[in-house]
Amino acid sequence: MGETDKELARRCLAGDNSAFAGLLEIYQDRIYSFAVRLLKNPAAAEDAAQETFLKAYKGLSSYDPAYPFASWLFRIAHNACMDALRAGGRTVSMDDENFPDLPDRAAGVAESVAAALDGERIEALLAALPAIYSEALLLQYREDMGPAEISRVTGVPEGTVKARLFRARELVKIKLNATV
Amino acid sequence: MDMDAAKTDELIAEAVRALPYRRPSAGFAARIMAQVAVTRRELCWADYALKAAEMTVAAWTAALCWGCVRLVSTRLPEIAAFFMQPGGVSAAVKLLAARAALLGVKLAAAVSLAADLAAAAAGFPGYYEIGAAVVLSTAALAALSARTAAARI
Repeated sequence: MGETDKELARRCLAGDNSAFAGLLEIYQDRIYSFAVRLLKNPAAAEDAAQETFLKAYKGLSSYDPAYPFASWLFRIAHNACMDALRAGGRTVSMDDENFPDLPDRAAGVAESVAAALDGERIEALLAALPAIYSEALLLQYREDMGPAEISRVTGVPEGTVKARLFRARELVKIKLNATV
Repeated sequence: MDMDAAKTDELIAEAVRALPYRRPSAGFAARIMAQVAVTRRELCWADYALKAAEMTVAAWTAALCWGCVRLVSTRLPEIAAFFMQPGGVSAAVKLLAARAALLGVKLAAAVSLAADLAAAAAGFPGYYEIGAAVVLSTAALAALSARTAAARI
């Protein structure tokens, strides 16, 4: 997959428009899904995804093939989504972590509750989380990125990414317990 | 019965991993490709403008180099003779330093004259004053330099 992305990006830089169509085909659902889960609005997510692909096309020469193409593209999508959230009047904590008050470790979750963690329920839980936490979970589990790659996407230090991931999981557990 | 934290984390991970990708509305890719085509045309024009600017600079550099080479080649015997005489190199360095100092003085005088003219013509807008002063002082200095050079010859 990585090689294919890089090859398509190289062909696109050489002026082959069909290569960009290939990249669009590979990534349109992933970028749109990421945006719609952060913005919680299909129209705004489509705008953000469109902006992401156009910016990627214009800035393709700045892509460094030493890194995965996906993290470069998701970095652009992250910026587009954060801009959209700010434009919509949502506060997005980027520099200083404004963590909600959490216990050191959330209480255990009842086995029956955790077992019923289906798609619909996790979608609702992610939608209830602040964007920086749902983003961390989506990038790690849905996009299969490690903390270093997420750090490149979000532009925050790796330690902050790990803290966000921990907090995100704890918040999900608290919300799961609250639904019982 | 409560599950341990690691197992719950794993269940959360699995649930997120299993989330389906959603598709944007029909025609999304076509709209983007249409915009890409427009962007491509704009980028092409920007490229042409840059190339034209690059070629202008290259042509100007070539003309300057050609002028310098011709100047040196037509005066090569004099230059060679000058360098071959005893102390020729140090004399050339001194001459260059003197020329540079003269140029510096001329530039300082031009700037000072421009500032004086600008201050004197307080009723005019600033860029007219400075533009006129620069043109006048440059013309005056050029004329004076040409006259003194002719007198020396």
